[in-house]
Amino acid sequence: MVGREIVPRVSRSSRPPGDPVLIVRNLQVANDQGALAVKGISFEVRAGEIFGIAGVEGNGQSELVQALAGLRPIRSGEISLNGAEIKHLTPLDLYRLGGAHIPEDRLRFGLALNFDLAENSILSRQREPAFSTRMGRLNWNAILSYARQLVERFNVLAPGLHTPVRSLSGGNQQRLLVGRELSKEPVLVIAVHPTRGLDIASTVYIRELLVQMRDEGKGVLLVSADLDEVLEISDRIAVMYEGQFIGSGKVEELSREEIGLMMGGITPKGRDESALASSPTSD
Amino acid sequence: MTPLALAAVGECVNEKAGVVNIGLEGIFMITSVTGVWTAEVFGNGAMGLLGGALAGAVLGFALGVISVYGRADQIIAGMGLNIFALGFVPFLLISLWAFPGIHIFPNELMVPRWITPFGQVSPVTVFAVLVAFLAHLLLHRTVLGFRIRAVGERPEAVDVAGLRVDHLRLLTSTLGGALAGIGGAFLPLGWFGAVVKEISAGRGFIALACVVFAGLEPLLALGAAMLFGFADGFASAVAVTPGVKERIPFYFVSMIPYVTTLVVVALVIGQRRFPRTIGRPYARE
Amino acid sequence: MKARWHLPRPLIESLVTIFIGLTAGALLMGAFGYSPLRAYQALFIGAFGTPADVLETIAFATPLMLTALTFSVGIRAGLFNIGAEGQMYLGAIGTTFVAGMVSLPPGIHIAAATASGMLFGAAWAMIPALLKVWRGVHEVISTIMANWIAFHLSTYLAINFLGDPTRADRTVPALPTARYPVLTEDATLTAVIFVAIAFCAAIYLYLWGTRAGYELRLGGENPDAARYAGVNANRVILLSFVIGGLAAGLAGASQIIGRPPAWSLYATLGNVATLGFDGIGVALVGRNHPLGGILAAFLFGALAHGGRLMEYQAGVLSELVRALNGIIVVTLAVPEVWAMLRRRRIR
Repeated sequence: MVGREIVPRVSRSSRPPGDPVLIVRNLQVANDQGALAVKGISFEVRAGEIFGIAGVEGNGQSELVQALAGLRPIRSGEISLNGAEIKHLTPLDLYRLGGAHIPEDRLRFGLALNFDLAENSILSRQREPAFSTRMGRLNWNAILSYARQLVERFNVLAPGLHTPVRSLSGGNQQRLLVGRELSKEPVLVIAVHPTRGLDIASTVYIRELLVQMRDEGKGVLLVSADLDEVLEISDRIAVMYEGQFIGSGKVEELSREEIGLMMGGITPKGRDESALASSPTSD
Repeated sequence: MTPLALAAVGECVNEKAGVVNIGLEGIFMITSVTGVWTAEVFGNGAMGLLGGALAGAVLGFALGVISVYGRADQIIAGMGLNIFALGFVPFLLISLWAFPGIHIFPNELMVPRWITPFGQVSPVTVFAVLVAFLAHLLLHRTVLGFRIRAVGERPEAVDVAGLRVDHLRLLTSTLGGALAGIGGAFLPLGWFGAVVKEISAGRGFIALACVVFAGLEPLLALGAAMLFGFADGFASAVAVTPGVKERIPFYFVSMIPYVTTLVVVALVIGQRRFPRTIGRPYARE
Repeated sequence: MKARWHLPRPLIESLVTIFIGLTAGALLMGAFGYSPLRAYQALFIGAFGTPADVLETIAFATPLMLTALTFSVGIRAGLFNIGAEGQMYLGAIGTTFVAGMVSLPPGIHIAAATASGMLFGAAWAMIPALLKVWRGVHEVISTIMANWIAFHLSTYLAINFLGDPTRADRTVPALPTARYPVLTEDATLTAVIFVAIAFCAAIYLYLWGTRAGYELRLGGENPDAARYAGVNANRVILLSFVIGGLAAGLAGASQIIGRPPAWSLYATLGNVATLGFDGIGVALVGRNHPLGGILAAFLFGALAHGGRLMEYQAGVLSELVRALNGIIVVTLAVPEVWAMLRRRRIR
């Protein structure tokens, strides 16, 4: 963990959450080999809160997020996003219903490295009327001015809008990606390892942006292998272990040690599972 | 069937190690010429097969070097070899024998066939079957075979274990080239009795189809080669059968091998699993 | 780095590969006792010696820029479409049929014959496209098989349905109303070159100026990111094969109604054969860019046209040019060549 002690903390005001924007019920998802990776998970993310999922990588977090983002089929269970019940979620459904997705691997899902900055700025937004006409022509003027806006607002350091994204630093690539997703005016932000491998300035900046989204009344689902990150900005935390939530609660109620134990599969005795507020664990 | 089997079995081993040789067609074409040339120089058909094997090994090695050390796009490099052969073979034919497009060699140079109670069989065919079984044993029963499979799946693990990823891959691509080379030399010396510039006629790609069909298993590849080889032989047979040849135009008969290949590959594909790093160069992180 | 290196890098790389190809060709010629110097001299004079030769070079370039486009659009979509050859055969058949067997008013006839060729090419491209979408058949195998099937099918159709009753070796010639105007008496260049260039330019605008083009390129550049962006992978496959088929079909058409003196298809397909494969090298040298392909096509057109004088004067078979093409393709496949050159330059 680079600079655990050095990364300045992001301040977070306490604030009552609103209605749920994402409701997940008994979700089951298979991994690439066909084995069950998510074994019946239920939870909610409410407007104005950050719901953090901690856990050692490889306990089903990737499959969970990919299912929520429409990138992986659901075996069973229900997902309701912004009030709409969805059976077969596609990425476009997610975006249409107000979801934004900062994917786990920015080089794999989030960006096209040989495309230039402007082209990457509309990746996943290319069908929006602002960027392409009904006849399907790209509106380059709008795309370039939007890309310029992203670069300025999110402090992306790049030689120009026609620079291939490959030649940007990891931090600037991620700023571009995060900026693109947050500028969708989402109601729900799914952020996976949003600061992994980044320099300190970018890390703090992106955490601040996520808290700012929360303060603006958006729901944020944060999945991170970095326990400090989860503890620092989440309102509620669930710990994922072998495809299930092994424990959860408000951030004030959980100690670092408890969470650490749960990440290792050890359930603290005496903790009442009802601390999960409105979201029961798997049945 | 024999050239298909030889090339396909070699390519199975090669692809297990994570290297793809899409230039089999080009190797067939070039080694058919070098095979006949060597046979004429030594006055012996069997030497011709050796000449084909040698040229094939050189081409396989060259592609291996390009793939392993040059970190090339293997599909494009292999296709480059095919295009090269398209121009080089007619050039060779006219440079070696001063006659365009075709060379007919003396019949004595044909690789003799064994006469058995069931009909004639070429020793090369028997060799091909043997090679398929040997390749199966090599891959599944020997340490070297285990290493070859490992290098296709987890080159980093092989590297950490202190083995040379590059050497293993060069070995399989050279071996694959040599086997394809025997197959290429067999085309004129064991089958047609002449070299023509389009001698291979897509058989290099049919061999690749065998590999895909077989999911890289040499014995299945042998089976596929028999199936596609049968379609090839069937087409040749139909083309001269009285009563049929008048009714079905020759052109449609000629399509049989290609249509068969397409149909069979379309039916079996999808259930096959290929090595994780197939077609990708290995570099230490 | 000094300022004189500021030529665009792709251009330098393409030029260096061609140089490597020519050097390798010289070694081959030397090895077989020919004089490379005489051969290349003849090649150059053959290609550019007179204004008529330059025009002839352009005539040779016409089909190449189109078959190169077939390959480029495939690569842009992440597909290895080497089926231009067969798609072009069928394009030639489709054009021959409308141009030679159907009577239409002038103007409309040219357009109809051209469109027919393009549609035939696109239809043939649907075979590998659908096999890929439905069954996941790798396009290298399916396109090559389709090429050979197309070869036999086209020969059959050319001889049995489109044959010229007065000449056994070729199909009925295109009617005068279906022929593109010849631009000059000295060369076989016709107005079809403008159609070819316009088509390449249109595809360029389509790929970089439309949403569908953006999604096609995204699908080839990063399939996972394309999925993330809601791109339908099957649509990308079909679209790229259709565009490729149209281009190859137009290439076939250009050799029937845009190339004197035959104005017809040879029964051996000799006047179109291998143009599809040649397009692969052209596309790679042109950096899989529709406009780069036009430039590269002029270069390969020069090799093809100049190769004829090379054969005549130096005795070197003109097909050696295709071997050079292959060496160029192999060289372009090896990124380490460029890494080495860059290291050298910095030193």
